[in-house]
Amino acid sequence: MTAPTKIHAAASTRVATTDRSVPPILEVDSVVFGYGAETIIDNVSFDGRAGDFISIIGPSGCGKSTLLTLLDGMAQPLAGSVRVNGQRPLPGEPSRSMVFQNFALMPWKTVLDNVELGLRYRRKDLAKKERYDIAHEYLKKVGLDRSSKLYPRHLSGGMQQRVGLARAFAVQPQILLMDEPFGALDAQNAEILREDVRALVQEEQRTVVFVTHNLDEALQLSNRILLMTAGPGRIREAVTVDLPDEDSDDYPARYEAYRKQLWMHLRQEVNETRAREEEGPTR
Amino acid sequence: MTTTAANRSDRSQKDPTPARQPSTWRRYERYWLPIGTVVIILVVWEILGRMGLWNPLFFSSPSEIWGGFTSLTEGPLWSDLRVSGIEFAIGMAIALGLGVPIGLLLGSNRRLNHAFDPIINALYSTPILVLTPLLVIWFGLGMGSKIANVAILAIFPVIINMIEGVRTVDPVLLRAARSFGASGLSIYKDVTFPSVIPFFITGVRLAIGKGMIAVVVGEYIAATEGIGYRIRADAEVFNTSRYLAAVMIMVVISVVMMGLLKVVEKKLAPWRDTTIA
Repeated sequence: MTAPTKIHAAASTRVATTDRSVPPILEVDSVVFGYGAETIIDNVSFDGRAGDFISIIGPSGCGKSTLLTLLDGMAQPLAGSVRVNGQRPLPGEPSRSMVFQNFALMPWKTVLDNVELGLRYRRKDLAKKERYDIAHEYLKKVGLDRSSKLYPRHLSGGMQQRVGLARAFAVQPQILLMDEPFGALDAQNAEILREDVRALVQEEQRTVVFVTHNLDEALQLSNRILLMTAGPGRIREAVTVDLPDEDSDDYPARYEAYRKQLWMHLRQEVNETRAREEEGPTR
Repeated sequence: MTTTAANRSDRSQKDPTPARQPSTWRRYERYWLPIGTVVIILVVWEILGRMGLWNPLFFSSPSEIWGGFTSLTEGPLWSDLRVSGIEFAIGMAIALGLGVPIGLLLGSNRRLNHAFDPIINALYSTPILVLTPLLVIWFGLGMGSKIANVAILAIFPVIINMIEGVRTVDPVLLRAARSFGASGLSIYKDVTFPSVIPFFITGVRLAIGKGMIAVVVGEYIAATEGIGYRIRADAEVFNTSRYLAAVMIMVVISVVMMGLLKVVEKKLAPWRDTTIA
């Protein structure tokens, strides 16, 4: 595994500068995972604290989404360990919630019922009215309180993903797992949703693990970026992003420097993956 | 393109006449078009009948069929409908009561599905009505054999559609429910059952068609009462108008049942409605 490169710059007011002395909520230690003889994830390690926004970026098939499955406790690693608050994660635990690429809203439930769904399973201590009050509150936060009685099919893709965000934030998890949440949206909707996510994360100080294909998305949102290799998925670069305010004079130059560095690695990785795929059948 | 659009909007702004409302004819055409078509067919049919274009033994005109209908209503129609209705209702209840859980079970269990799939498909595509004489031997000439007929014929579309429904539940939705903490029963309640409903409705629609055939043919082959028996009895004595009236009654009942099923579907699956609530 390539040694992680850390890029440090001046202190930032953006999403997260986390206190490294605080013990991490999420610990991923030398995780290996695969199906049969195929290794999908090989020796991946990182950790996350409250306020960390960690983007995982890499070519298709590098195991980014599989890694989220492991973090969500839906599968267990073959070697190494995943720990959430020091414990092995199990499916459906309240410490985490997931935002899916294709929204994964129940078509037969109204917008409000979809947001309430997670609360119903996880917050059995709450009365029905309290659950719906929370669901309303989060729908308001994503600007959809007036659409609460509609069914998902009546909403645009961007609106559906806002429902997905409201559902994920409403259960107030410590860790938010986002699997290419803007991948199915057009550019404008994706931009607006990025702003929504940034506002929600800043307000609630969650740990976010965010899988994306989009370099700019990763740079705009994260304080750490893990660049993964494909076949098997390993961490090629771990970059700490420390950008100043977007209004500051040196923001564009600094942003561009990060982008260039990440793109250099990513391009190389995509080219290598493509070459491997072309060789594939004869291997 | 832009110029054309601009011209058009200019013209519409200057045009003093208000937007044209569609005429009353236009507005209600989806009602009067089908009604008008039926009326025209009936009138032409009646005229051709009165012109003596066919032998009344072979076919009847609408007025003769109406005569057959009144003769039926004054005679055995209501008791026939009651018998056939009971046979149909009990048979369908058995088909749904057994078919739904069997379909759910086979759909959820890959091994069981593999084991029973060929048998179910074979029985579904076989014209099981050939078993009617055997069912009469087992259950007698009365309602029992017709109920069995309906149940056996209607159960397969229900089972097959339920299996298909369970097997096509979106795995992402299952995963989402699990990720948010749903356990076995809540997954069935919140994900599996709702996604199976459209398949259930399709199963019921096909089962109604099969069930109607089962009742009528069952009674037609061997019975002492019921609408199928009446059709046969009238056909045998060349009472064509009464026979055709009974056929028309069956058509109307089918249409009404399909309409009712649509209402049930809207109640059971309001999210499939394309209009915004």
